[in-house]
Amino acid sequence: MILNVSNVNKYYDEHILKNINFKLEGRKSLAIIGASGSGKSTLLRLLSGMETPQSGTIEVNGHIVTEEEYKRKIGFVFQTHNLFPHLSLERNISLILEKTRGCSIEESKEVAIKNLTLLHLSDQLHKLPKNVSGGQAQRASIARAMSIDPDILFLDEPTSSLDPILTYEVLEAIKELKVLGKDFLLVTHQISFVRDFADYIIFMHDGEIIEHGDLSILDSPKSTIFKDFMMKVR
Amino acid sequence: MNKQKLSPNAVDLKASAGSYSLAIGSLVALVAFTVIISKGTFNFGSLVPYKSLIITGFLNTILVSVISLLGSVVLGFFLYALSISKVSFFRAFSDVFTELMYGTPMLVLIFIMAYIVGPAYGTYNRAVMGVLAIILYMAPYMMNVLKASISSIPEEQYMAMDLFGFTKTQRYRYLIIPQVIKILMPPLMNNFSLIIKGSALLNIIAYHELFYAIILTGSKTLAFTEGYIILWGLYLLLTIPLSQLTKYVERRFGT
Repeated sequence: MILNVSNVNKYYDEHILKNINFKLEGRKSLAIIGASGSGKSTLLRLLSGMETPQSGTIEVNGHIVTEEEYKRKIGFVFQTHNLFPHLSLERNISLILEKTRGCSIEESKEVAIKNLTLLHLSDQLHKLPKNVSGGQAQRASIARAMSIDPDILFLDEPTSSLDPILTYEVLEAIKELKVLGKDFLLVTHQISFVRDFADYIIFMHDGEIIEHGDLSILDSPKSTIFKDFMMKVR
Repeated sequence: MNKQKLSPNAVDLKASAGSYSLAIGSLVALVAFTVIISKGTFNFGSLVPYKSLIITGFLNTILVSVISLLGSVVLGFFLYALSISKVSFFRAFSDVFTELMYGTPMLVLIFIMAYIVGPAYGTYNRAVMGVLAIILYMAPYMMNVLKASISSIPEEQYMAMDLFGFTKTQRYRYLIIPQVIKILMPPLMNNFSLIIKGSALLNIIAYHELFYAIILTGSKTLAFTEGYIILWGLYLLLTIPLSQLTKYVERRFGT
């Protein structure tokens, strides 16, 4: 992927992202790490084009992220599964393909089943989200994000609402997706997962990027803040 | 410790069928007793020649109530759309209109619509202006019902809808309305009940609804007491099944 972030500022009530500048090329899987409130989820949402900064520009793979064309080619997995609660797992996917991607009913269904099977949910197709486990729902949400054949898959702390066993189950499923050759952008607290999965790391603190680099920065943090963080999460 | 004792839940407080029968029986007995001591004898027979007058009134009450329900839901949705508009004038307009309706008694609004607004725009059709008054009056309440149920959908779902590229119409048709319908139904039905009861006020502009029909019959037969009893019964015939239906819907679609 190619990322080009320049002079990005984001405020809600507070100054969340403070003049972020960042360039990246030729990596497949970027992990953004940092403590809660560091602005990492906000940065991820800005990169997905779901939210817009008050100032600055963001380009991903040559697209300005607010372009509709760009948004159609990204998959996003939220902290909670965020499936539509009144639709079965299968319908959660096929409705999107049918209504927004112009696929036929049969084709939509087929793609939905294929992706749910990929996430080991072939026996849960017709269940409502409330009738499956948290881990299954989150995997269905990953299947949903994958089903639109995205160029980039965004994962926003996809396991933060799950217990350790379900977390393991979801992370294993994500690892399996790596072979599909997509780009991944993820925010997570699971450092061991980052080691297995990511090839580039951004460490954020208080709305700023403190350090970034490949996996080796996890073992040799330069700044005190990053050292402290690594001590705590190890 | 038993948690149910700290916070009584629906199961603890549900009355048995026997208790319901007893409650209904005692209320009916109380009403019957009051009626009987107020007037010794009844002559329901004198109302019979005016049967069709009363039936027309009853059907008109249903008609105006249904029209008012549909009209106020549509106008309520329109007000809701204004209240979330990007244009600040529209949001302000929706607010001001709501305040205006909240502060106005329905009775006053019916007069104003029938005798001021109607004639000003060249219509003397009091029935239409009366129904319009109910629609205007109820619209802000409908807006609130819609607003509350639509806001029950979490923000992230809207983000997902946006990301997947659903059009506005598709969002409402496939995602928002199917989700909010069960939250929407009970307060919507309550409002419908308010409309049915409120429609009795249309008698003051001489619209031939149930209340008007009964008063008219009473003035011809002098059987006022009998008329009022039938009047009460007929309103209950409409509102009680409605509230039972609401409860059924809540149970059927509740989580």
